[in-house]
Amino acid sequence: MSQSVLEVTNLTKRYGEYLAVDHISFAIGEGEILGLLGPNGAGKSTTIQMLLGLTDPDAGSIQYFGQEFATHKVKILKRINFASAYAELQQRLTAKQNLRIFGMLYEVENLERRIDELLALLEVEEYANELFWHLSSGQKTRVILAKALLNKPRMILMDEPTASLDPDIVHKIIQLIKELQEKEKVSILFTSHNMEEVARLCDRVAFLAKGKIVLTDTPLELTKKIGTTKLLLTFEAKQKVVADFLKQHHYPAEFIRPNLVEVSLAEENIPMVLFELKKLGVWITSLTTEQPSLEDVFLHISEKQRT
Amino acid sequence: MNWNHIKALLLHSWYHTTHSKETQIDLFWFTLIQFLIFGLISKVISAQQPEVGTVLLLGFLLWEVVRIGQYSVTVSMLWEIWSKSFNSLFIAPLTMAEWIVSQMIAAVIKTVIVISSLAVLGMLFFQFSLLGLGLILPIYTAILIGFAYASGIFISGLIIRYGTNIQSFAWGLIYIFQPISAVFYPVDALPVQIRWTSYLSPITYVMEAARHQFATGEVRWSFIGIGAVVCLLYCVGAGLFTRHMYSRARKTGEFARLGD
Repeated sequence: MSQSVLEVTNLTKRYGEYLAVDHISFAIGEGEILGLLGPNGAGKSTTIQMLLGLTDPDAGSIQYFGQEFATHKVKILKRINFASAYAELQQRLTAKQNLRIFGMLYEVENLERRIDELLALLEVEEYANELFWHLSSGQKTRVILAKALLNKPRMILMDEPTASLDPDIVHKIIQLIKELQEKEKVSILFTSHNMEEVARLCDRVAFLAKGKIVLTDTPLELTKKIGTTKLLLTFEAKQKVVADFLKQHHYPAEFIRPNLVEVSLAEENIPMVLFELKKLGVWITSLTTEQPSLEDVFLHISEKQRT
Repeated sequence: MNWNHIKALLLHSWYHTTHSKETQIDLFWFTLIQFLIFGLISKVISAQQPEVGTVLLLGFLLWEVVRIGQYSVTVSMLWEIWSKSFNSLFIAPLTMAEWIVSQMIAAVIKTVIVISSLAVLGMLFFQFSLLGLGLILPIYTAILIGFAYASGIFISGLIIRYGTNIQSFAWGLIYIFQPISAVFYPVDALPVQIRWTSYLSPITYVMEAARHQFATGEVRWSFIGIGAVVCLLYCVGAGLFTRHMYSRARKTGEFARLGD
């Protein structure tokens, strides 16, 4: 991995008896996008709050650009930024006025030009002089993204930045994030409930559950770890024979229709299943396999944590 | 302390005040209407007892210095919390000290604009001039604004720690001081048993000194000195309290959840 832009070591946060974040450690390299995923209550928000300096950790360290966040906070905050569909700006100011204030806080040079560039890039220039509270949630999210890019940050924390956006805008935002990564080597910590988006964007994904990081890997490797493939079989008659066979071999299966079954199994077992069914006289008319997705990994981990 | 950040927040305050009808009504209209009512009452009373009318208008204007200053410091924070944008400001490289100093500067500007306008109206319509306090007027005003800061910072600390649950303090808490601060009557008018409480409020020293000066032309420097010291103690106490509340709210996670 390239040089770490963010390095988190043993970060811990406890609220009374509740351990919200439990000794997590991870790092993000230059130009890397790390997805931080986990079910509600996993500790994502608390982690982000600590990474932004809004909440003090109980233990552990956060280092940006090799410097301790706790002791170089203002200096570091100048070089990072945050975007979220759930963040807000001052409602009684116009979009442009809000950006101007933040630009002044970040001491951005050629501020007016930068604001105009970003408003155009995010296609919200026609709303520049609208009060923020008059904007739709999609327009607000784009203005907040413009705010997040104002200071040309080296690291951006993005908490569901595309929630509430129309699909065409989501596509543009994803492209923009990719460009930021590839052309400007911006590092990004990305959270989303859209697993397809995470799989497309993230170089690595860290799964949080009950405050701990339970898995970290590339999206592809993570899906391999699930180890099951979905096999969709359409066959002629003999539903009982198929059901008995699957039950006997302990393959989790769901009959979608009497002659259509979805079976979860290891990829290498597929030929054996097909062979055995043929031997039993089952006539298979079509078959489809579906590789596990990041969503399956998410569901698998969430389920495992619940049980 | 980065002055570029303070300039940004002053511009923010200007934008907000010019867009927010609520702020304009709270700061300018309510104050103006109340001033006109007090002015008319003082006019009626002055026909019989001229000095009582003066006391009423003097008390009103000096009290408004405290109220507007405190309101401005505290409610600006509430506006950000209501907008759910307070946290966004602190994700930028802004410190709490810079936020508070900028609100103090904005408060003094708003106070001076409103009180100066009322003072001019007082001269035009009610033959009452605050300038009768001469060169001591800025000193009285400084002590009152100092106390407005102290109470504004104290209430800000409570809001940081307890959120909007206690938002009504932003308007109401200062009025705890009004009955004991000899605003419209001398300390002697209070029952003997609670008279000592008056001297806990720096406003009392300013009001007593200002009334005395209006009546006799003599400046009570001892009152001004004590008032300034008491005010300073309140400011230091409020600063320490708010620093503690801020630190506590960051530990408990309440600061990150402000406005949720």
